[in-house]
Amino acid sequence: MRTPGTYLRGIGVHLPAVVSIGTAIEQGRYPAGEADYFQLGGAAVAGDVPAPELGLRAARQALERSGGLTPADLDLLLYTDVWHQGPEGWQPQYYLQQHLTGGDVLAIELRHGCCGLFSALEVAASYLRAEPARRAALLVGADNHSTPLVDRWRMFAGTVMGDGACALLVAKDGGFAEVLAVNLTTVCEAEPVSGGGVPMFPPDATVGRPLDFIARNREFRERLLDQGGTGALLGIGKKLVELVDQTLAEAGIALSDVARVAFPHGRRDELGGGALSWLGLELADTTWEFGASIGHLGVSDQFVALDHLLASRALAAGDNVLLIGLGAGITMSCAALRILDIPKEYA
Amino acid sequence: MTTASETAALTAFIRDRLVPGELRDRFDETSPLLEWGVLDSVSTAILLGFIRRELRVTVPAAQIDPANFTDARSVAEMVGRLAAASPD
Repeated sequence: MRTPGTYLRGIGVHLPAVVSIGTAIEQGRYPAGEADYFQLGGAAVAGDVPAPELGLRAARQALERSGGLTPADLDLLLYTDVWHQGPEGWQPQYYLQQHLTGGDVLAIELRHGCCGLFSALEVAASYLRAEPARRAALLVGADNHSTPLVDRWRMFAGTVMGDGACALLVAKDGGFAEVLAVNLTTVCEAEPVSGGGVPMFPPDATVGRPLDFIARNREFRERLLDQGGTGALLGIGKKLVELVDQTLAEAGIALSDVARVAFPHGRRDELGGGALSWLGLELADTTWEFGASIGHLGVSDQFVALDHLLASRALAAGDNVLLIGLGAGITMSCAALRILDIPKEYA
Repeated sequence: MTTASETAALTAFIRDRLVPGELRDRFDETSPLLEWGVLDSVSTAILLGFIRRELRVTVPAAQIDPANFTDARSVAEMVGRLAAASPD
């Protein structure tokens, strides 16, 4: 979807302190034998700070960096996440309404796996354009995996889960970056990749069943082999490349016009040998090294990486940035941005 | 046109990089890549990266069809068709 007149006005990020892979190995939490191969640095760990509080801190910073937007200017608040946020029967956006925006903003929790912030961006762009008087939206992604039922150090092979939050202020009347296009698609045939044969009812959390993506992925693969082969998985890469091509075309740019590409904070070998290789990119074109230092944050990876690129002066006015997401579903997302100027907070 | 050397190069790459160790001795250019589970989303991307780098052929998304990845020979035939159609 082309998104003319859609801008990023501010980014806020809250990352807790990092626990290194070395510490995790010493504590017996991370397999020492995998350290050299995967080259991960560590995971941001929030301890007992609730995810909505992480989100609130990021949202406040985004407003501080917005050049004058206030909560009264907001028309929409979308809160995205992948993990449990707080009490059942309650939703995390209420916490931000109570402590930041007030109750007159349409506020919704939007759960779309690890592509949640991309989905929020597409929804916000459409919502703001639907009514001329609407001016700005606040998108918040936050998660804290320091809970039972999940092991951040062994949730996926070669990937550790980090905690943190990112907030995006999306505005129609200008910003430091223009959102050129954003798209999402799903390979429905691969839906069981994340479910892995685990019963839908009763839901995991109600019976204390842990989340183990490694086991689920293995189960699905074995099921495919029993049913004749892994052909259904070819559609994932195909759709991802089609999505990138579509987004670049809508943005009016080629991949060679892109300064940096941010992927989910995942496995180095899969990224470097897989998607990058097919697209003709190098690891240095991406934000992998930064991502490996904090872990996979659920919904926030690519946008926290954008903040990092700005803070480390890796971007300049006129640069195009491509953000690519992958999540359960299997859902894929892609957004193309153009940096218009470097906010003074990063200068 | 697919050359024997391209077929051999693809077969060797798939066998050495993508085929599980316990299947390597049995692997040849007619071994079923999907039925054996050799190709999935990641390993297919790795293979396409090899084709781009070493065989100088970019495989477009529209060609990612199971029929083109039945075995190493079918992959080589697809590469040959794409190379023949390339303006270069």
